[in-house]
Amino acid sequence: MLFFKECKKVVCSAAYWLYLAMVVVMYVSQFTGELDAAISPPSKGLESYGWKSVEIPEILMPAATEGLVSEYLSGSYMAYPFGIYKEVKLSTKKQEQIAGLIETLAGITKEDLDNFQGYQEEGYRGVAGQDGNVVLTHQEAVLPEIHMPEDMSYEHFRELMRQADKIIGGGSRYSDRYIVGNFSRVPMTYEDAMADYEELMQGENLAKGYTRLFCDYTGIVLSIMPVFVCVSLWQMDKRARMQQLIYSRSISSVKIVGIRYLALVCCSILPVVLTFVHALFGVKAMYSERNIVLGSSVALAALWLIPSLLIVLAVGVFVSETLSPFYAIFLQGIWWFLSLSANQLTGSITRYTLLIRHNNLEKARLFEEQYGDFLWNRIFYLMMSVAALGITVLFYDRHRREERQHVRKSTKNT
Amino acid sequence: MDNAIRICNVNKFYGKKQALKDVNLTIEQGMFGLLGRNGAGKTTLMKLLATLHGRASGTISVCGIPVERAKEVREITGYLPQEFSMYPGMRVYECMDYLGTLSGMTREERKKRIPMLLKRVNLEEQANSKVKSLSGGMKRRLGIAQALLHDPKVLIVDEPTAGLDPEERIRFRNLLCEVAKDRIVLLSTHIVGDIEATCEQIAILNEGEILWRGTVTELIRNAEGKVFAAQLPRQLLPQVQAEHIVTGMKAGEKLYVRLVSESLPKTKEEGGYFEEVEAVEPNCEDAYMYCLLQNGYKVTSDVSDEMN
Amino acid sequence: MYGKVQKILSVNLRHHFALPFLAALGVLVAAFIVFGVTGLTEQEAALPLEMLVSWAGPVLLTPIFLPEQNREIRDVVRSKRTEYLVICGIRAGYSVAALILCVSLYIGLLKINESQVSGRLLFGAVATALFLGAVGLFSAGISDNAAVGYMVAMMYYLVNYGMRERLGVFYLFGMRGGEYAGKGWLAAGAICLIIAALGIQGKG
Repeated sequence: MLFFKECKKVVCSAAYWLYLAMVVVMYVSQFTGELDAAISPPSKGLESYGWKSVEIPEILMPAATEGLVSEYLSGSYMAYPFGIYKEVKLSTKKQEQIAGLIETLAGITKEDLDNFQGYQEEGYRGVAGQDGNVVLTHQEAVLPEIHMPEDMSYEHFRELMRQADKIIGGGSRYSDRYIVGNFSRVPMTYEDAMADYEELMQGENLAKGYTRLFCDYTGIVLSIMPVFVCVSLWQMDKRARMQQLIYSRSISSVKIVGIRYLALVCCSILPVVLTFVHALFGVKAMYSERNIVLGSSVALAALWLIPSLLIVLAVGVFVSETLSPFYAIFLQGIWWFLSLSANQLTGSITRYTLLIRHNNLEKARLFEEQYGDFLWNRIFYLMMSVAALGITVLFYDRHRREERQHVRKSTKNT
Repeated sequence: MDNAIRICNVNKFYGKKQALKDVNLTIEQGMFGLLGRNGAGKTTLMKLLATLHGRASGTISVCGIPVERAKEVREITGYLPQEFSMYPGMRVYECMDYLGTLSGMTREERKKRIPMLLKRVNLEEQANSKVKSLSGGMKRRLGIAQALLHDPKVLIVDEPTAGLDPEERIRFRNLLCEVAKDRIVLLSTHIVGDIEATCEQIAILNEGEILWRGTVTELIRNAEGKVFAAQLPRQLLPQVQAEHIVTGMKAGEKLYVRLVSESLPKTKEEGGYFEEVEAVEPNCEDAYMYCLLQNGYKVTSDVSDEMN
Repeated sequence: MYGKVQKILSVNLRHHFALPFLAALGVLVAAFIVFGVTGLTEQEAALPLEMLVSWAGPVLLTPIFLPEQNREIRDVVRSKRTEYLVICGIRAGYSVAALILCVSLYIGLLKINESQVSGRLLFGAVATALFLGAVGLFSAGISDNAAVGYMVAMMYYLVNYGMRERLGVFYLFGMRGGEYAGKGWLAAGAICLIIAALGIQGKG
């Protein structure tokens, strides 16, 4: 059967074994450490239980306003347009626009801002101690006094922040994506940490937590490495000069492209399935006293990882067929890097990002809150894979017809 | 000055498989044909002479230069591989110019010889065309042109006419004969007609061993009395093919076959298959098949047998 | 001799260099867009250099043997008097020069935009890109397949995300943490890998 022959071609390629090795290396180096010991409940009396972002207007509004004033006075703004830090310096006109917003938010005129002396941003300063060592001390920001209008609604405030974000160019700390995390964080209490722990231990959450972690790590590999296997398979015909032989056969383009694609998908998913099964067995063994339910974990892993694999292979096949295999590597590499960089480790699932990240056993509620976007994302890429594959078939068929015409023409000329 | 290629006790392995077994050959000036089946070891031998591969044992010298001195050997050798190709985006003239540079030619030499050779191989009009736009025959002609570019003493051509139409093939053979006047031309092929038409001396290679060495005339003489024309009923063909080497057949009311056999095939009266049998003059193809038979190699002429 | 080298250089630059060089410039453009270039400290400047600009290495070096990946072309080229090693050596030379140019361009951009740059930052960035490229080149050389070369370079890059301790001096992202000592090892390792790759492919 053609499918098994294509699978054999895939499995016998060096690229496939390198891909397999990478899946295993990623699993062993990143995930198996999680299987060393079961999670234990938080201990009482710790100095810190971490931070949590909670949208509290009373905290957020003054903090964000101070942040904006501070950045205006420093002359540069922190932004994360692709998820990576970028320092933005605004033109005079845009600075004026920000000054206008500050006047509305804090009651400070542009003249007052520009004439303010002694500005100091919040941070840590090294100070020589008595024994000669440098001691880091925290220093508060030195800013003009802020007078927020009492009648300013939270919605209006958020709208003004969006405007500031737009002026800065997007991805700033004032954007909807980052404002709560940057300006409205409160320390977690023991009770908060315990609640997280208990939530994790409920029902399927434990298995799902490990599944999310597994998918987080594996997704990084699946979003780039399969393209090499795809390129290797597509190049085989060219190197063996098989194209004309295949083009001249009666088999339809849909069948050739479809079966090859299917072979790539099946062979690529195999090491993922094996490592996932190993992970589940590990989790079950670690929590043997609990009744770990695995069913929905399998569904979650499939929904998380399969669309990533499908779209990477579909785009790889599409670019290999329409441009060249090496463009497929280059473009996928850029896409992968932007996607990897654009996401925070946890809690930033968006509708169109290739890489879904949730590098945390806990925070199930956070994941559930973003589940709608997660589902949209996965269905979107599933559909895009089908579309990319369909277009590939059209191009493959066109190349076939062009080749036949070229052969006919050359035969006529000679 | 030694003007011959001398191959002494050469063995070559690819892993465990022995591609060349104790090959001994001396190739003098003129056209020398290397005939053999696919997989006989012809290309391997060619690549050894072109210093593209190393050998396990034995010695090889090209015009007195041992192949270990690869650079010197390549200076005097032109090589046309079995499947010739060049960078697809390069134009024909540019390709020749580049390969000429790699061959150590000066700018003046290249400027003089490239147009001359392109004219000789009838590629003048394609000088500015990209390699990828050339037909198979044109590519092969470009291949021979680049092999001759630096006026080598030795020309090694590996199956140059495979896949060419009859007109191209004749043109190629004529060109090779012309250039063989003052150099060694080693031609490997599995097409007996090419050997017959062009080569003075030939060797037959099979499974890495030299089976025969001499002139075409001597090869044919060796098969005298061993080639027969016979007539038989059509339905007996499978049995005949199982027992004899059939080198040709013509179908009419009855079937006329050409056979190679050590002894006279038996007629019906004698308990055989044939209605009429007579000895005929062997041709080169018959002689080649007889040579294989004589050396104990299983020769099958039954295509249906292979397909089953 | 000079004429021969000039000819080999010009033909290879024209036919085999344009695409990799454009791709390397594409990497620089991507780095410029994604990362900021203004007012960065030396450690902040190390981030784009190590994480993205370093990919100029594999993009420029890995395809050195690609033109002759087709065996038919390889046999023709190798049968000539000029050693294949010489051709690959010339390609490696201009590829490394282009790599240094690309990294220098980016560092120049950083400097113009008032970021802190230094000689050791330049050296470190070049060494990182060169090593990653050499990994790709060496893998392409031993496998006779450029796609495998790119793949191994990507694998090495990925491994650097989570296996810092195991990689030791061959860790790629040291400058971000203010560590420059390993860059000398990366440079030396790169040279060794490039020589080994040229030796394997050049001699056949």
